[in-house]
Amino acid sequence: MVRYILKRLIIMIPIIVGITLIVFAILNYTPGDAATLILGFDATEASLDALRAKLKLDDPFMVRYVRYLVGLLKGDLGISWRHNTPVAAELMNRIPNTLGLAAYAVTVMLILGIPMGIISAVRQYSLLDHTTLFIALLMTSIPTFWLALMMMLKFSLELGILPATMPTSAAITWKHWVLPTFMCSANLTASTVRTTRSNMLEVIRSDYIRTAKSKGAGQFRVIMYHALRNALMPVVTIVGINFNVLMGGAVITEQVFNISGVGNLLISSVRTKDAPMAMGCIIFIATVIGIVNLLVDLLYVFINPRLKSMYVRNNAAKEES
Amino acid sequence: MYDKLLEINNLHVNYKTADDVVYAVNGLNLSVRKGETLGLVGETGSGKTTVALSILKLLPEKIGFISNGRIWFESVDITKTSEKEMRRVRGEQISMIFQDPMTSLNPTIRVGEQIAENLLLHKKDMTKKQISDRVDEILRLVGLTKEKKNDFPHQLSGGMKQRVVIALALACEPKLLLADEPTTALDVTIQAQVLSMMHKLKEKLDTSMILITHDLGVVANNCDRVAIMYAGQIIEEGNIRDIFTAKHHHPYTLGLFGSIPDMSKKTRRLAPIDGMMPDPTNLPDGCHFWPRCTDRMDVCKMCEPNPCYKDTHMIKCHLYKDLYNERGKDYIVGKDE
Amino acid sequence: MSRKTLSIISLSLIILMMFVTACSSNQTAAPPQDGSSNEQGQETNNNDSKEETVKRTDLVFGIPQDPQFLTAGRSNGQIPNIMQTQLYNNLLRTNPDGSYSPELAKNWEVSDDNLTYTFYLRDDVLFHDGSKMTSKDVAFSFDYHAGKLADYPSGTQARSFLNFYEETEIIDEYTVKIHYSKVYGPTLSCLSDIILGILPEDAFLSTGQDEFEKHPIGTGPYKFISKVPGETIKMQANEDYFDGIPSIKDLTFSIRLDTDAAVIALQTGELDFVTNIATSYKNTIDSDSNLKWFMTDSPGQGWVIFNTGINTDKVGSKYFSDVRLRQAVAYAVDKEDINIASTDGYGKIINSPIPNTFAGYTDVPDYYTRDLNKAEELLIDAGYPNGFSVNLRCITTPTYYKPAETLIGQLAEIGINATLEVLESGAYWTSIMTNYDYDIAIGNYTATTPDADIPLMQHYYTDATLRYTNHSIKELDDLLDKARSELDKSKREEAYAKAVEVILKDNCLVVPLYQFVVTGAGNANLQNVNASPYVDWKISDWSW
Repeated sequence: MVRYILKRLIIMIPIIVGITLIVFAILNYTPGDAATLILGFDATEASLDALRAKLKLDDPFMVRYVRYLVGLLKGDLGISWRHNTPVAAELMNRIPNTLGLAAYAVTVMLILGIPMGIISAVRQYSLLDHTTLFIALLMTSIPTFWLALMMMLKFSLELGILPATMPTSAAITWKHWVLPTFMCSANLTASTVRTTRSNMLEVIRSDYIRTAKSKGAGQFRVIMYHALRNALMPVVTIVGINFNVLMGGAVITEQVFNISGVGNLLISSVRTKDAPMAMGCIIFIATVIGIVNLLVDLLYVFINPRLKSMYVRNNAAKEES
Repeated sequence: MYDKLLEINNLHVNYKTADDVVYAVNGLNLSVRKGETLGLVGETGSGKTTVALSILKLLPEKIGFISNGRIWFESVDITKTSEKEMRRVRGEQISMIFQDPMTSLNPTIRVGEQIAENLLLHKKDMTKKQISDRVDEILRLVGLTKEKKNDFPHQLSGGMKQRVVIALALACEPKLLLADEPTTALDVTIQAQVLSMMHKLKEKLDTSMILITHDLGVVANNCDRVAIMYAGQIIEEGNIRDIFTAKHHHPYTLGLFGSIPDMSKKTRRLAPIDGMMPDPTNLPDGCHFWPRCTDRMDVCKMCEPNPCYKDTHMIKCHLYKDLYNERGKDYIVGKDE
Repeated sequence: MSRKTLSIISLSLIILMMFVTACSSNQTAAPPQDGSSNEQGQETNNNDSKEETVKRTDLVFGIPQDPQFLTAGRSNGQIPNIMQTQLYNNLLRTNPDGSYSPELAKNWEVSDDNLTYTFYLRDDVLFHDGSKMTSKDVAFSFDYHAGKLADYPSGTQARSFLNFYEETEIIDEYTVKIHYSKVYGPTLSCLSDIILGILPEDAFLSTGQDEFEKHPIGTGPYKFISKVPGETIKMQANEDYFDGIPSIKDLTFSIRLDTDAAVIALQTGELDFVTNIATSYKNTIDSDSNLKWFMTDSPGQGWVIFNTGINTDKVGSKYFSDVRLRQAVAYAVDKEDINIASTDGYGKIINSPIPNTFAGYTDVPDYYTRDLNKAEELLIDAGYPNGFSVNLRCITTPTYYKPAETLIGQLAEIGINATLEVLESGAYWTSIMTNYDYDIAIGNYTATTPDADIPLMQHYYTDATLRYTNHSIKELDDLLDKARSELDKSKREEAYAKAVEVILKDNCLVVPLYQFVVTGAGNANLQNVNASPYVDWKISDWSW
């Protein structure tokens, strides 16, 4: 198992390096001179040259990329071109909010999406099922930012029960997180409901559920003990696959709700061509997605005995002997 | 005489789908005596499994309905029993062995736990230790070592899985065992092992059994009585001698026998029954078998034949109206005592 | 089946209604809670009952983008202007009528040869760090901006407002003489530009530019407190301000990339003011009795620009190197429609590349009143009777693509099939200022010094920094040189009128379209808020 985790972590390294190369190339080869963008369009040639020399922009692409990688290996994400502050420090300020938002969204997804999916499947074709499916369809098809604005209009402006955006000076309370969390998880929750429902429907029609019923197990026991675990296996994968969607959603959500997060930072860095900052944000997001996928795979191994026995057999054998 | 353990009278079961009504069981009469093994034989789609599911009231929810008839188990009418009551019957009084051992076990639960669940649900007074011991004992009975209880189903072979399924069904020593093609999914060598093991267990535990199969060979070796099913009805019924040695048979039964290679006779080829099972959403009038029957008469197309009896042998066919005692539809076998 | 369908339909209707009520709510909903919400923190919440007696002293001000630098002069633009207005002062300032008022200077004299300006400084001005503002700070600031310091040879963006600047001579602690090498008409106007703020020499040199940027110090009404890049900039009232202590004490600038969300935040009271909102939000703001809309004419202009290639080594557009085709476009343009599309009609139609409030401006006729027949004649004359296809370049910002979209339809009327090419800003600027690989584009510019010299020199002089139209016209250069060194008002105006004639009538380098508006929206309880053409919201004058 440990070897497997190590292997996966090692595989992540070339992936992240690959991502840095692609992003570095995109930032480098898209039109617009970084020095001009930083200094403005009426900057003198002299000042532009000075800045280019300072940032070593005149070196060949690969030289700069390798230099960046070497810095990265030393844990140095560089200095923001625009803000002249260490990228790592700026990132650290924002990571808690982004991870917090993602964690809240995943939590909502799990505690709302899975039960709704189960109920929907158990009460298939009931009004409840239709309602749930309809809302889920709505949530998957409505663009996040639009829904966010509608929610703001409804809950912040009309009802006045939730703040629309993050506070600028006061402390952030749970109320501030309600709308962003809802927004961020709407899409994911909807797809979780749909996946849980369809898996559950498939599972409760399977032979082993009939076997369970033939033993005299009640509905609740059949669903919770026999069906759920089997139905959840694909849902776990969905979480992993959709985590990048969630991170993408977080970028939009952070912008709309003015959350001090990595997504917001990424948008403004890309806009201002602040390459080191944008790179830092992307490396962070890629790493998080990689780690989450690894965790999901591990979780999958643990809830799927077939895979578990593949990886844990040696240990089990040792224990028994 | 044996006591009757199960008595099915005039059972009708329908499956309602979005567009059609499937008439799966159409006025079926059947009884099982204590300690007896009844073979329920028929082609795929004749309604055998539906009968078994009806007995357990496990017809697919919102799709399958018992539209008419009674199922007496001991002195209780199962069709009128509440779901809560049924839960106590299932697993403890009546158990079922399903057709495909590969899919009948929950892939995420250790087999020991799956067997123990039966005891857990029905033998509330048993301690953990007792349950665990009992699981070991049952596993031994079905020929598995007790270490297997810690395995997941995917770690077992097909035959082992079926042994687990059987162990699971027998855990509470039920009065009636419904075995739905228990060996179809197994290799022939394993089939024989499993069947003989089931036979022994049945004898040992004094369990009655309905053995659902399409394999007449299996029936010959394991059953006391045989009922042959066609389009949701029993068309011939009798003890093993009646079916295998009597002179008269329902044309369908003859067809079934014709489909088995008989090594003692020199025939060029098998004689399969022509045609297909009738569309269950649209059954033919009269005898449901007439479109395929080689001996069909005009009357067959008009009226449904009544069961005709000769001792223990029953044939539901117009051909035997005179040779056998014909009894009306309202004649109820179990109620004349 | 039918019941299922019915229930789905009724459900969707319910949900739709929910959203419709949500949408219409901004007109009908109850006012937000007394203009204060949880955002203002515990303090105001506790004081809710005493709201009438205790005035708020804080303000959250929404800005659409992050000003890159806070050091005076380092960033030029509307948002940096807002920051510099709060943090710094100039020697003098321009009044709306074009006259000058003292600021850091009590009064000033101009030498007879118009090359030396003597400023007598106030002696009661303190920098935010407590040090006194004296002559050496003024000398340092101008030298720094102009790039005369050895350590900062490129100066700041304020450099272009110090044309012909030689040196600052320190006469005594509170008197300076600013020497120019040539007579420059708009000198005082330039010195009053927001971007030419006075910086503290000691504080700046002790830390250097990069460190100073992290904690900028000026003499302005607000002190810098903290900055979270891309999010907030916090300032606090300067209790030693020489021109009256501001009523708003705690000032927070909140960067809001999403305008829709910013407007909602304004309505819920989470923001007190938002600047630079598109005119399309005016109705929303007007219909909310708690909010007020502020708008005034901006000197910013939108034009159609051509890659002319007149007398330059970079080849001009295949089509628009020909003046007849440029004129054909000019005749085809309907400025009215474009103004409506871009500013909802709040902007003003213009005929001159000089903003009408600027010194040197005179009314010029519309040389190309819309006339499709003339346009078509010119096309035939130039050899394109059936028109041609070009790409029309613009940026993703509405002030660029909105006029562009309308223009495409107008060009189609004379057979020019233009395709919209929306570029990322970096790519756009490279294309129209460096590579000159475009045919026709939409250009925008906002000058902050109210003198014709600034916009014309920046766009039309040979080798000008923002010479979008890729031309070099000797006659025009001479006129501009003459005008900037001329001090007589009417002679200057005459020279500029002639220059405009060369730009438009003779060469049709650009087609001036419309003048922008400066917009802002804020809490209706805010007092003394005035929109200024240069977006320099003077928050120190505001109060609750």
